[in-house]
Amino acid sequence: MKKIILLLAVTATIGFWSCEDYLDRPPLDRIGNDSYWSTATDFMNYTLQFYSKFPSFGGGAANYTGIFGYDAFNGSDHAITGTIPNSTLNGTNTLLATNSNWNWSNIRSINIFFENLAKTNVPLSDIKHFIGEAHFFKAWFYFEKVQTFGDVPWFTNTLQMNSEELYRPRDSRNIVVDSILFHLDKAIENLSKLSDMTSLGGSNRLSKEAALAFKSRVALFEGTWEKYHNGTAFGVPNADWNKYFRIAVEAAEELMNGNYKVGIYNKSKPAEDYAYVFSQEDFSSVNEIILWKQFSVDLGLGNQFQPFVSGFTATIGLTENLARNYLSKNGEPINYDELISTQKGKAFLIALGDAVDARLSQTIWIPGALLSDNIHNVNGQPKYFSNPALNQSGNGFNGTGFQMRKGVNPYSATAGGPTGTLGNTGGIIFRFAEVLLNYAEAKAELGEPVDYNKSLNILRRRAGMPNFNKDNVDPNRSSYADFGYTLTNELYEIRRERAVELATEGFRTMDLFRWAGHNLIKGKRPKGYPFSQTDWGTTKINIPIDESGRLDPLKKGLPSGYGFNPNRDYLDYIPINEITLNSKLEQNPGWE
Amino acid sequence: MTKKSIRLTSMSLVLTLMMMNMFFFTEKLAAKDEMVTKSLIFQNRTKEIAGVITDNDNIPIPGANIIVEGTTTGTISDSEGKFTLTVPINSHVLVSFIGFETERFLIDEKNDYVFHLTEDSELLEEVIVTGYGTKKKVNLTGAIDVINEETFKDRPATTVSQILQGQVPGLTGFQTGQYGFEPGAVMSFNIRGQGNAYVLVDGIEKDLNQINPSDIESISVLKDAAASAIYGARAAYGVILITTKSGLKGKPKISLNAQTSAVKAIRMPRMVDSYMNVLAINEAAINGGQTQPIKDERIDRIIAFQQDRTLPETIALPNGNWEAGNADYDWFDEYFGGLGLRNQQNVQVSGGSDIANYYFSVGHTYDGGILNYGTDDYRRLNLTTKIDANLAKWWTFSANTYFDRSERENPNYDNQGGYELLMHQIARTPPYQAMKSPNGIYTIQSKIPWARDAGTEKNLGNTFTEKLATKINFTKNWKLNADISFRLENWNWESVDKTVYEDKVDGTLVVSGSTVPSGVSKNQTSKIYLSTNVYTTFDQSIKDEHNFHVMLGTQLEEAKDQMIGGSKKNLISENVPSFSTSTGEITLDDALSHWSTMGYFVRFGYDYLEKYLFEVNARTDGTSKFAEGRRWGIFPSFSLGWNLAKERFMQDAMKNINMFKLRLSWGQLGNQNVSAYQDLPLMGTNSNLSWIILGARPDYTTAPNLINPLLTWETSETSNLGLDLSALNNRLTFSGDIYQRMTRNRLGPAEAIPNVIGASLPRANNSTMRTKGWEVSLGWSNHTSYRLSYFVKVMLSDYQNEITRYNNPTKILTTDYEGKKVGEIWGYVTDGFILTQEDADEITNNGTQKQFYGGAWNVGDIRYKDLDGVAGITTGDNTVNNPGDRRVIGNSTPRYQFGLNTGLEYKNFNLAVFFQGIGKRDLALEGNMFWGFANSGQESLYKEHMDYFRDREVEIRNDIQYVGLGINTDAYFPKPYRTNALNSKNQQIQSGYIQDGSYLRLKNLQFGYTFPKKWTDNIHFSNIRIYFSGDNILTFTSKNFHSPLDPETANVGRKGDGKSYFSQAVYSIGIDLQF
Repeated sequence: MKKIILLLAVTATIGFWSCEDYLDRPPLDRIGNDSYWSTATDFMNYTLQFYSKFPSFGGGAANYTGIFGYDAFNGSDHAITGTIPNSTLNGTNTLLATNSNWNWSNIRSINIFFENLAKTNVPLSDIKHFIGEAHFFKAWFYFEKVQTFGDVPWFTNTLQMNSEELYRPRDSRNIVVDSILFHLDKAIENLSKLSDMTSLGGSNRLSKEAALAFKSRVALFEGTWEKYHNGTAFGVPNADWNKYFRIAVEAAEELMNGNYKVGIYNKSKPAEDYAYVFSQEDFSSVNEIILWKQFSVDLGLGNQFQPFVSGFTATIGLTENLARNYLSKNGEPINYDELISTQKGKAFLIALGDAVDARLSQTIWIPGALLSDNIHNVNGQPKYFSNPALNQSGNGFNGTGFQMRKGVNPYSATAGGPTGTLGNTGGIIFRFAEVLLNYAEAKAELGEPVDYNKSLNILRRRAGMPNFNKDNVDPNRSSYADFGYTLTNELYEIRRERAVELATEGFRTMDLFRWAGHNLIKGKRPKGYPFSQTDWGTTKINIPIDESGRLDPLKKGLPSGYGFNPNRDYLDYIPINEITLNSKLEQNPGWE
Repeated sequence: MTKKSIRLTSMSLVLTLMMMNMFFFTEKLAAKDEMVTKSLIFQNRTKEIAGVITDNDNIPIPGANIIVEGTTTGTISDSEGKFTLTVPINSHVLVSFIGFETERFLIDEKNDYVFHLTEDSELLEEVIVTGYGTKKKVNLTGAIDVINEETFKDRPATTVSQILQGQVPGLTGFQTGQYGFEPGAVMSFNIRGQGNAYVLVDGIEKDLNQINPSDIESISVLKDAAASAIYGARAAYGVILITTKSGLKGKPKISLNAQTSAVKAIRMPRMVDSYMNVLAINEAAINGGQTQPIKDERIDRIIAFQQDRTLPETIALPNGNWEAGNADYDWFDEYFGGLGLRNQQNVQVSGGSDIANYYFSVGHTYDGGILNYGTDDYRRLNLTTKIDANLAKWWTFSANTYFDRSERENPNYDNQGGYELLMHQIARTPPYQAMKSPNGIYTIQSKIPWARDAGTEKNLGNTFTEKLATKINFTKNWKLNADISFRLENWNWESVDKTVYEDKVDGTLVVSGSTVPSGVSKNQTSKIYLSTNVYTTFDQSIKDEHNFHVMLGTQLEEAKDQMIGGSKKNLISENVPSFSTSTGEITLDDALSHWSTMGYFVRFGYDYLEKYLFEVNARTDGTSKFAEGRRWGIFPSFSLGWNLAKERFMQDAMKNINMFKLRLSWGQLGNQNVSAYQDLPLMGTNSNLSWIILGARPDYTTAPNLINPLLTWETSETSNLGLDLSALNNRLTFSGDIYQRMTRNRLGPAEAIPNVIGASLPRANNSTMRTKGWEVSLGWSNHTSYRLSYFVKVMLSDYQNEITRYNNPTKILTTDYEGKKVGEIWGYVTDGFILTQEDADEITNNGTQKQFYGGAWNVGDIRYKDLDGVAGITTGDNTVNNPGDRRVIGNSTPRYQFGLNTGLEYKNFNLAVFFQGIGKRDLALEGNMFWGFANSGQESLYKEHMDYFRDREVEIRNDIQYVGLGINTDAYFPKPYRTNALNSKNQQIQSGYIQDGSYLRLKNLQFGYTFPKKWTDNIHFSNIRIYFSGDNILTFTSKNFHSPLDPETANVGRKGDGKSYFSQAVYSIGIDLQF
């Protein structure tokens, strides 16, 4: 009997558990897509993720200096890294099976937003701003793709493993750019103006102003690309570049019309106003900065920018080609060749700084400039810059004598500090000066009169420079600004102004590319300042020197100059794997 | 005394006290025995007797052992089975011979004796633990291997996984712990080349590395589907059943074991000296057109330092910092030279009566690691209680309780990575780096402050497991078993990041940036697992000829894991790291998960006279991991056995055959071991966006995953043919299996889908893999002369995996494809060095090798073979049919895994030797540990690396006699550079640099001495044994293995091949006591 009772008890116990529910174990710490997207906050939280995709200061040599290092790390005639040639400029990139740039996860993520937007019951008016953000980011991510690859497939919807669209061909770049501009119009329509964004986060958040600024950038990019690559493999059949120039001008003019919270920072201190624009921890009251990334060591989000633009260099060296763009303080060209034959080393830098546009000494370290006045002072004394770091190695090395200074704030706690010291310098994403330069360039490309008083002269004035004058032609222009094709003096000078104002802000690579500026790269070798051993006493500097006494750091690495291939290197390659998997994808020119 | 050693000492103290306690306890018991003994009257009269030893058929047995009981007096029978021996009258002799049962005979007044020995049927009668039951070995029809305690006794290993390597044919694919052989390293392995084995300890699913090796009585490895089918849902890739020791009826038995080991790194690379290092680095830089990185002035200081080591290791720089240095260190030696310490203590008490049997055990293991700077250790404590109670004649009840505590502490390093950075950073520290500044402060770039002072990571696990089981015999033939097991694991993880400093010239201390801010992170994980088994068995025999066995049962499992964790920055005092004493940024997160399975199983067995054996198993399982409708699977198996030795024709034909059995099995098993919810699109929810809005880092969400609603069971179908043989009175044993396993609906790698999909792909049942393999083991054991016995057992196994079905129509090489042999290495074919400038220019100008580097090629670079006829070296379209100039140049699957156990006993000495090895394995090693030269600052230059291509003398500075870097165009390594772009010319995966990873290792050698009984009896011990044991004493590698590292660790490392904790030799002394 006892045995039977036991048996029954055991059977009952099994029966108790034996139901299908036992195997239902839904997620405990994840939310399903189907139950998400039900409040305005859901939409807000989703678009927030994309802010972290903006370029800014980060880890690793290429990112310590954020956008300020891009001209060097991406490759341009204005900056180099160490003594190693940039592989894109040197044409030594190789066609590989994979390419990290061919990554589509951001575009999938943004498409998920739009798919769920179409289904949601949340009133669109409640999420207007976030819809604007989503449109902006779709444009942003696709613009990255167009810059890198030219033609790319346009996807409106997310793809599944069995989607036929996975195997689509690429869409022509102008169609893609038109779609980008469409999304930017939607972004401008939906985003709030900066003046209404106190509760959204002000200029730490995308605004109508930011979308307009971006629109001018995209349109100018595509207009110049189509114009200067016209007739090459990179061009577009029946290109209509003036359409894009018009869009660029209109977007810029909209921002310039006085109805927006934008401006140029000017406290009438030409020796420091320009520098101030890049070196602050908080740009929220600086109208010139339309969008920026805030850093806070206390919140676990700091950056090492100050050490890397003061005591260290992240290996960056600016070049003579940049330095030669600066006009004298009276707006006339200077005789650079004469200067380098008479002055060397430190003396040269001081003489150059004295002679030219104050923006140079706020971009390049001049001996005697205050490096740090903070806790890193030695024996309580502020530190001054004495000599470019030609004798250093690794992340402390400068190979050109033109050592980047832009963005330093000697009074910040981290300037002059050791590597690894985290600080709060803000990261700029959009500033109004670019819009003015976009305006002037696009307007001039259209052949229409440029309103310089509303644009470039404002920038000039801040630096204490006279007004823009297209006729102050430098007779030696061809030695640093020969694009290899004819260009009006006005466009030459606008490009010069862009080079100076936006120096080391990460625009130069794409400027060269959209201008088809290979003449400035191919076969050329960037040079540094005229070297003086007397500055160094017995310390031997191992950087090669050219016949005219200038530092020639790439002499060994580039015996015959950059090997840039103008028939190939303007666009990146489509990875071999992708073409294998999708026979409709065509490789970019020159990469077969 | 350091904190560590205090803890160690107190632990030893406790154990010693326990041992003393037991000693006194036993002494009382022993005193009682003594009184009994004393009452006996000893007779000292002796006489010589003569005798003959035969088996039951009167056939003489030569070489049998005859010992007078209680003494060491004895002899051995001659070739006719005869012996003479002087013995006390009225004593007993023990007669033993391998293959026969040891018997005790009385010596009376007679002078002549004939002793008949009975054949030992133990081997055949041996009972093997199988799924949900036991079986006589002779009746097994599945492929099951068993190892018992003797095989791994007293091995100085910290985890069970380390012990199993090489011991079971078919237990394969052993890989080091996640960082190499770090303290407490858990080796991964599989059964027959794929998947993870399901491990049950006394019937409870447990982590085998949490248990105490000395508690183990036997380990059954269930290899084929027929053997493991009864575990259906969890056992697709075999089962390991671990049976721990239990109490036996009788007086208390107490065992003590203590072991201390010295540990030393083996095959640790030797860094070249600082002068050689800078010469080579300068040359590599100049090779690449760079400026000379180490200036002459510094080289002069390096030379001077080598000649006078009292000179400063570094000099002051104008910017107030110290220069990197001019010292001369072998940093591996600095960090890992010298000896580490391990120790183990075990106490076991067991016994029993009619009412109950008991077993109690305490074990402690400590591994102090070999790192000289910082804390890097592992400790484990195991407490086990097992009680079997007889409630009634028909009813038993048992309770097993296990408490396992493990603690791992290691340097947290510099906040940029963690422990995995340790080896990476040491490997790239140049020998000239100063260790201390002239102020006497450790430099950051020596990495010592990071390793020693930047905080540690601690992972403390407490696992409590309880199993209650009952067995009811309704009738003699009908039994019911029910058990419930509960396991609670608590893991406390804590990581403290402390700020470390170095000094400037003026003595001010500056922080190492990456160690700011300081902080503490913790998480607590609790894992609850509950399992219920109920099964009933029915056995019936008809006329003792037809034997039937039926079993029905059900199993339920459910598990729930909860993690809660967080971090807080800015410790107020680094000595008191807690959330309460921190002031900075806070993060908080949790993770919750749960799963369940449910299964019903049935077994039917039949045999005829134990001659023809048949068994069928079926199990149906459901799992919560898959969507409703795809949850359930049915997994059948059957097996046949034929004991040929029991056939009359065999008995007549081969008298010496004891067992000759053929086994045949087929079965299917299911695998559901994937992460749950791959059928649901789930949003990513995150905190602390790396963007600040309104003064805070907001929470944010990210895109849901791609889903696969069709995900279901992977099934593995195994066919196995086996042969078991034993002969010559079981002295010779052989076991062999060949098998094929088809893994269908395999959860293979993601299919090749264009990247535009923008998401990682969910797992899918997308392929079929075929495993073919075989295993053999061959053993011989014998007594040869007086008190000498020996055995030898060789094991060899092999398998290969091949993909037979997979959706990859283009046959792109990024993933599996049909016909792929798993482990294959694709690479280019090396065609030697470029030897002339003309050849180099031609390659440059024609761009034939621009695939790797678009610039100039030089003499000393690699020339690759153009295989495909298309101009230049290409990757084709990266498919099998057009792989460009690549082909399969090797296979990383370990082949011919080998083990050899041998031992001998002579008088009171025993010697055991265990070799383990891999017969064939190719390694394609990458990174600076193999190539030496790398991007500037990432080099690791060892002696081996100096065999690089030099077509000109390296300029040696006049003022030093130095032999080293002469012309070497017959080098092993190509011309080196200091940038990744340039090194990619030569450091491709290519045929010329595939390493032969085969090896043979003296894995363990053990020498022991058991004190004579008459000594031990006097001090009331039943057994005292002391031993020396050594692990990894000798390693033989191929001459085509050019890595300075151990073949087992050369390809391991999260930061690159070989950046892993070194293999170690372990030398132990220990003592076993029993009373």
